[in-house]
Amino acid sequence: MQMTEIELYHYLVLGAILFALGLIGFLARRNLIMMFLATEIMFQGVAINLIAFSRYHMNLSGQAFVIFLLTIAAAEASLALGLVVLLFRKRATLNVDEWSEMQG
Amino acid sequence: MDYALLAATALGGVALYLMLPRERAPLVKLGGLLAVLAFGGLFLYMFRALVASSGGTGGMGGVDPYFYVFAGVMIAGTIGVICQPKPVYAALYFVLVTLAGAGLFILLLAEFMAIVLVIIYAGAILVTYVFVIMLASQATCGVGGEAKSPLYDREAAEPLLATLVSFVLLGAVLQCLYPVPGRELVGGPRHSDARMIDRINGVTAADIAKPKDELAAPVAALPKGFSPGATAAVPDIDAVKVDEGDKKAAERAAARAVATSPTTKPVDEAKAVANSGKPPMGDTQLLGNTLYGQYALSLELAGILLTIALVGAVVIARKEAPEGTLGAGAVPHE
Repeated sequence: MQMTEIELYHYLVLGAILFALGLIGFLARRNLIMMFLATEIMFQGVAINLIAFSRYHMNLSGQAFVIFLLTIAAAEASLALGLVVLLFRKRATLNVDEWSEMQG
Repeated sequence: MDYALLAATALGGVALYLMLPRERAPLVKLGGLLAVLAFGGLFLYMFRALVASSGGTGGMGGVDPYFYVFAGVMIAGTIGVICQPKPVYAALYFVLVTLAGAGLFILLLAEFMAIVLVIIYAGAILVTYVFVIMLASQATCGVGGEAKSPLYDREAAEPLLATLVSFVLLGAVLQCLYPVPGRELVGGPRHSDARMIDRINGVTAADIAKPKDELAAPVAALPKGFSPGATAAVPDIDAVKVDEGDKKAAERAAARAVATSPTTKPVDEAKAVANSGKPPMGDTQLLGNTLYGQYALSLELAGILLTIALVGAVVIARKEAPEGTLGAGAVPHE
């Protein structure tokens, strides 16, 4: 089987698949940390898309955007995990169903 | 409406539904097999679409098998992340996903981004995740003393709805993405240039004929000692007579115009470097020029944002002092 060139849409398809899998992980898990990990998977899919477009257009704006994406992902991960630790101290469980009501 | 693509997507959905963690999971292996078949079907469809469309001269990633290897590892790792009941194993699978993504970035000639991904994502963010998982761990002992995941997360909640929603989204996106004869992908002709470094090094006759002082004027207006890139050809600044007043203002305006032009500037600078016979700029240098040239304000704001997030995380996760025993702001020893 002859392999042909890798075009842009290969990378876009990969980014879309990663995003959809991250979405499944976010919706189907009830552990808070696992849900945040699924959002990180969605970040990865978006990063693949951005770098692919940056290469396709010979433009470095996509890579600069991925730098900022990593910055935001790091800031969000640190704050989210700090909140998770705080919530865990309150009720000793990471089950997101326990926190579905805004009381106490 | 590509029915073969739809069938591959639906098969992937069924496979993932079978593989999500459940208390009694007899069909996990069947789900794995179906996932392999779905991905194989996707690959075959991509191959058929490629053969049907006209063969392009310039591809994006040059070396073909590595893309499939890295993409396959990435997708398998992602399925491992979301279908794994134990959180620490899921985080380790995610490290695998990150490493495969770094490989893909190198294929896309973004080697600096690949290294940054490994260092920051796999090395900092995921290590933080593993630490927090261990801090907030709720291992319950199963039969035989083996630690299992907590009870509420052992089964996937709403697996059918989650899989349906995500794969409907994925199917819609894939339908739009695949190039069908008569529907171009991103509008306009395919990029027919070769790899980025080749383009930068491929100095044409027109580039050589370009006057050399096209770069000299904005560079002369910069403060002395500043150069747009470490190996860029800096013309002799002393030799350029800079008068006070109008000429300097005009050159500063020219420099500003060049600096705020869209990002052909890194490619032009790299061409100037290639003109001067120095070694070509890599991704690190080009990205640095872009970041500090065009996105300097965003860079500074990102730094401020990180500092705010750091201070906020420390404040949020601090233990509170009991009333009256310690001074304000003190953290009790525990």
